[in-house]
Amino acid sequence: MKSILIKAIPFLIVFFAINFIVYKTSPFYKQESKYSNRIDSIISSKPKVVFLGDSHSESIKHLNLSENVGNLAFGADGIKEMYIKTLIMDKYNPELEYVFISTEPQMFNNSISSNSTFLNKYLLKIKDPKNIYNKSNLNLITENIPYLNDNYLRYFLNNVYAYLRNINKSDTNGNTPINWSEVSNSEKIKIASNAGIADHNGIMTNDEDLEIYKAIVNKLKLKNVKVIGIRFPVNEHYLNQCNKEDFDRVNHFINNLNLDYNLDYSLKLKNALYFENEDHLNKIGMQKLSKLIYRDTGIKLSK
Amino acid sequence: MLFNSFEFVIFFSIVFFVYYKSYNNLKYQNVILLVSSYVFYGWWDWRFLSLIIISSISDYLIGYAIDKNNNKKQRKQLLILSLFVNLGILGFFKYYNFFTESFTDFISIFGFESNPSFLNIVLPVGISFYTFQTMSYTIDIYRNKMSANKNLLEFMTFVSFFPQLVAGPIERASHLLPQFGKKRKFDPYEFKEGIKQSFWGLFKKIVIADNCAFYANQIFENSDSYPGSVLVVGVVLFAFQIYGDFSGYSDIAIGISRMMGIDLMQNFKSPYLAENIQDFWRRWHISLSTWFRDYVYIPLGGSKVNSSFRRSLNIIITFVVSGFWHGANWTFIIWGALHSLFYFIQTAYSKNLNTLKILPASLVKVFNITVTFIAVTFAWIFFRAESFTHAINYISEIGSSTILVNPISYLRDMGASIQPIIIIIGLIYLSVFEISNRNASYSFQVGHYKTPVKTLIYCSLLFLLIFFRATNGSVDFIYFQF
Repeated sequence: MKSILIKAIPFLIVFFAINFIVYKTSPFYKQESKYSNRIDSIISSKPKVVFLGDSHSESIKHLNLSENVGNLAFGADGIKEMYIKTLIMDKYNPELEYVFISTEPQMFNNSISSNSTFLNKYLLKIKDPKNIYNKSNLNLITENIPYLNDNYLRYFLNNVYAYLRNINKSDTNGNTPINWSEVSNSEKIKIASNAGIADHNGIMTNDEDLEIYKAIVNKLKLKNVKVIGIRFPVNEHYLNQCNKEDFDRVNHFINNLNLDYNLDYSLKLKNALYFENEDHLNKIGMQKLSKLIYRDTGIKLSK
Repeated sequence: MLFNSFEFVIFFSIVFFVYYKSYNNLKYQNVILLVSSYVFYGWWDWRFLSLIIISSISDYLIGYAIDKNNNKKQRKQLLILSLFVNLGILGFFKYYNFFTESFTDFISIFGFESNPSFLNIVLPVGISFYTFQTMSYTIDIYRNKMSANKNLLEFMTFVSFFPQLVAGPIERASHLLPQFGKKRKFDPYEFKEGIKQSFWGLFKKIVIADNCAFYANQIFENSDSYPGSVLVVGVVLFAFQIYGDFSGYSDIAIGISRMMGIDLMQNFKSPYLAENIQDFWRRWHISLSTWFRDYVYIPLGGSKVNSSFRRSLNIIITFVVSGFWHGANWTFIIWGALHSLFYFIQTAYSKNLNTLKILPASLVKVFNITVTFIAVTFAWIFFRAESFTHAINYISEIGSSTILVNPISYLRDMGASIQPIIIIIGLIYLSVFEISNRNASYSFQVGHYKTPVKTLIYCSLLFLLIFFRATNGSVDFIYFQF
């Protein structure tokens, strides 16, 4: 028995050494500190207004945000991540009055977000009655070991695959490394359409996500927090990739939630100068949008 | 608690350590196994432990009573009582709603209407497995094939032994029960072999089955949206999913039992290399097929009846009952019936093919293996489908012109860019061992290689387990629902 265990020790040492190096050097885990720093700062500043959503909502980072406004949105966040962040706010932010929640169709697609890994340390502190990630406390701890973490492994394998296919890394992140306003119209259509197809895949196919979305709204309403649905401006060719039937189903679902406001700016800003790329506003665009939000809700986002 | 979870790794490490420390005391060993088995089962739902305890105690007492009784009539009555208790529990939890619904549908044909009350109950995990295991005990005592066990602790450990409690292999009392009456000693060879077999099972589950499940589940759940060619891919992937899933479970169960000095029966023997349906059932879920052979087919008369009609009927009954064992749905019954149909067809044409001798033996073998695989895979459609209509629609689409549509873009839309490559590599790896060790107790046999090659093979297996495991969330073992 002892000899068998002794033989296993070198393998275990190598395994944990590799994992340690990956944990310390991988961009995936570097993203974790960025992610948790943002949550921690909101927990300590306790803003009255909070944004939840993916990279579209995250664009408010271009603004010099008022102390009352917190940005909890993060690229690649899905409905599940918004739900956990709602629970975090529920526990740590009694000052909360307004939550801007993304109602964009791509939020309802069937992709799996790897950001759930970054919420593990919060999941150990808060209680998620739904256990939406189906993770035990033991899973939450073992996911700190990169090669035992499904999200990291998926990220790693996708990078290997992209490398093998000689795909530019920035393409896999969904960002276009070019100045959007200088891109030709035909090129804009092509880029926006491709991104739109990828982002609107399998919309409204996950019933569990819809239940979680409802739970977010109900939880906030129960605390008398006003819930403001918001759609950020995007290129029309990006949005057109969501087929009409799916789009109507999303709208029908959102309308039935009785949100306090339902703001749709999807096609409100069309000038390419406002955009960083096909579906993200730049600083100028964000400033323009913040004025529209102020006009419609009376909430001032920037200082 | 799944075998492929960290909870189980910790659970088993603790159990094994305590068990290892108690090697000098048989009673402690059995107490540890019994308690850990109840903890293992109670992890899902502790309330259903009561069913195992009821089943264990009733069969222990009835078995004892049958053994002590010399009156033939009374022995039969006691056996009926045992079957009534076991099948009663199984029937109530698993088949009540099915029978009620089928009865309502049946009388509605004649214009009668009824409002039956259906039970909103959860099916206890592994109920069909341990029920059949305990039933074999009382039947064997009744047939004078074994004596009753007088030690309640040993008997309860036999019924609830955690590695095989929820998904088999369905052990015979005559093989497993005596092992709990002997002190188990640590055997380094068995321990190492047990680890190897467990890792091989883990590979089949998390690399083969769970990666195939990613596509197979999407395709079966949205089969209306896909062309026939994608549906073919879906059912082939399901064939490997269910094989990886179930045989993987069996290998892990047998492996961890070996580590603890308990020998479980072989449950799979490269079934997709079977040359005909009969051969398939000698290689697939062996513990169940031999159970039905011994306790259904042979008591019906088996092949020793005079009339060929009766012989055929015995085969059909056995296959259909075996299908029904899997679940309370017509799809399982049809699945079983299809296997009997394929059995007859293949028996007929094999005779002709062998008589003609137009092909070399090796080609005939490859041809037979291919035909058997296609037949078995076709039958899986009924096994996996939600309903009879679903299965028929699935088959109709495969039979349509959409079978010629290129499935690649549909598979790409399902996501997971690297998954097809992983599945292909995993299946090649599996096939190499399955083909080269077709008749071994399990296919990951590397003992005959030199040390550097062996090390390379072990490292490759570890590599696949770490890097090529499915990353889309854990998938429950399919056979838990039975």
